[in-house]
Amino acid sequence: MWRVSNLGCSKVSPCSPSINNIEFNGVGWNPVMFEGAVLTESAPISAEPVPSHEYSISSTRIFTTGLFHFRRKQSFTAVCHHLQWAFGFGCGQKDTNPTNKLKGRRAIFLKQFFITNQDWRLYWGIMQRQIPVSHREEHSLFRFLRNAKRKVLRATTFKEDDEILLRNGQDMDELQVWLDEQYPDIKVNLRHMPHQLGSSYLFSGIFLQLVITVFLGALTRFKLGEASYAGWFLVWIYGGPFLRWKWFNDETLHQKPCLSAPTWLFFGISGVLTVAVAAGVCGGIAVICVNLMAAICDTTFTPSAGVWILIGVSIAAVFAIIGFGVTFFSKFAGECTILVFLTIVEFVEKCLSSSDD
Amino acid sequence: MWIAFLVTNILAHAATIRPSAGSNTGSTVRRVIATIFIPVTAGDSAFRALGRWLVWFYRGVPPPGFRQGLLRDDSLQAAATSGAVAICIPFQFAPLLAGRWELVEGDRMAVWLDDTTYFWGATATAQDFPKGLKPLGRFPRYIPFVLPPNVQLLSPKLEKTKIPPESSALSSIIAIVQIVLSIRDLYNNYRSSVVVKGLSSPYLVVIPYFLMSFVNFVACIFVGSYRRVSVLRMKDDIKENFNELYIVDCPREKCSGKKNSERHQVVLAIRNERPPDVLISRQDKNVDKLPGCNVPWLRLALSKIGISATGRSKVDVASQQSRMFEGFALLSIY
Repeated sequence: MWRVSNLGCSKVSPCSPSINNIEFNGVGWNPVMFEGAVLTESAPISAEPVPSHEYSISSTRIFTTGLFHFRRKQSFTAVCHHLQWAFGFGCGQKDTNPTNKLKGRRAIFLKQFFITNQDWRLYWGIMQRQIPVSHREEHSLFRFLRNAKRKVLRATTFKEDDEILLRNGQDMDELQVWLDEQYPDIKVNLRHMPHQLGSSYLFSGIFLQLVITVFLGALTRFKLGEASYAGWFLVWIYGGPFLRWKWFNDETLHQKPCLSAPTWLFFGISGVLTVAVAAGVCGGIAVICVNLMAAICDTTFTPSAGVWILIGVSIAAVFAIIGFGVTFFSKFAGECTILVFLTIVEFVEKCLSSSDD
Repeated sequence: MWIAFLVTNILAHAATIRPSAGSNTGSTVRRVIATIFIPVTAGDSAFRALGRWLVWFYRGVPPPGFRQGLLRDDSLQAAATSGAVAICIPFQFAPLLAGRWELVEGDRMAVWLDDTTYFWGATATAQDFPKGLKPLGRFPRYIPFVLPPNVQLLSPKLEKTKIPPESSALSSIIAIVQIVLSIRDLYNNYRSSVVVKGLSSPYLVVIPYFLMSFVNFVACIFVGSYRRVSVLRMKDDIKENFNELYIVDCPREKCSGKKNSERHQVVLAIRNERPPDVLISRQDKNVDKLPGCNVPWLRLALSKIGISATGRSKVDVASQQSRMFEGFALLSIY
């Protein structure tokens, strides 16, 4: 994804930046709205502080034992939405203002406690905005599910929610007009937008899981052979695709503010699971390597537990070294290529000159 | 022999992977390494390409059927189907498309379609800013998004535009040879091991590799692979609209802003190739005399943080360091 990028400063700032007064609307610079009045060229310059009426904080208790509590804290400005989860002593307070749930829905930037698809240096990503049904042409099945969900949640939705959707719909119309003006040579149907990106990531895993199961079943009739070897092999072969199922949960956290504590909890658990599966994949590769070596040498290896762990850790280390190496050296790949080229040229010139002598 | 069987399978599979359009060397190498150890990752890009092709096939205009563009070719439509054509979207509309259209990340190679110059221009460094302004980050005002596959080209000029995809002949040949030979070898030479050892047979390792090679091969037939993302130029030339904004730290010497309490300000700088109309001088505190500053919001912004703007004629020294910037806008942080 596109990222806000850092310019190499040691630290972003004492506080994280949040755009509040939206002089900039994405297209041009607006006259500053100050205390409800639009300043003009002749308007007097005031030294008063920036108005804070657009800035608000909402904090609500999620869980409490009486002694300590977890709370969700949201900071809103006109353009930014910052979501945090905090721990505190005491009972905490329950947010009783229902409209706070709707604040920040039209923000441009989003920052959440756990960084998922956002820049790890500035921590802000672009927030996804909900598109109203009136501006979408979708499959009848999706429409049915959506209507059912709306009927169920009707009691808990707010009028403001509809207003937000209405404004989002107006934005969609404006975007369509802008596209028609700026790109008259192309026609894009904004009503046929996909719901989510990245589903290919999931399909890839499902496809491999399904087809490989068919292949393995046909070839081996699911005969295990040596159970431990078979287990590690299955961990390796299914572990990677299995991790793809995390997509369902992670996708909800990428561009939308996640207000659900269980979702965050599941996100944390799935992170631990990822580490476990990654360890399993390394173990599987270790077993495959040893098994292959034994087959090549036409013998049987029975390494001790320590040796198995050592092999697995070595494989993980190779992963890490290659990953860091590629990440680090790819920055200098172009320069290195030129340097190597120049060195070779210089060397060849020297050789030629020495042969002439 | 067995090592050759395994290694050639893994390498052949790695040779068939298709990177995303405009991927740089680092990400391609990382992808290759990931596919060697975890073969499922090889199919990500191929499945994405096939998914885009399916969307184009069912929802594309003109109506579906056997027609030009069914298989990969060098037309702009084919490139758009592949995800190698992008357009610029203003920042205010980005939340509507985020998560639905694919963003062109800063590390991907993006060029303008008409003159093939780089989309991402040179980046300003900290030295380019006036003294006292510390750059924190930057972002583009117009964000490149990859066009959806069901885009319709209306002008004959675009319909005739050619963007040749990378050749996939070698990777296709490798994939076919790998699939055929792997199945043949597995059946002839290693069948007994598979039958006897079942799931603990090490030769089953090759199965995910040649399956993913097959997926990549199918994707290569329908959708081309492109070395870079081509960005369509807006009607209003983006060069006239300065595509880069910089967030700059609070210029006050002693800022009392604390997190979630008192806010302090940052300055947003607009990058421009032209010499700036307005420059900032921290020493000059006279906010009433702003001869060069004809932007109301900027005057207000600068006065709020206790600094003044002066005209181009008065700040020659500062202009050496801020030549790249058009102006600065006040924002606030909490």
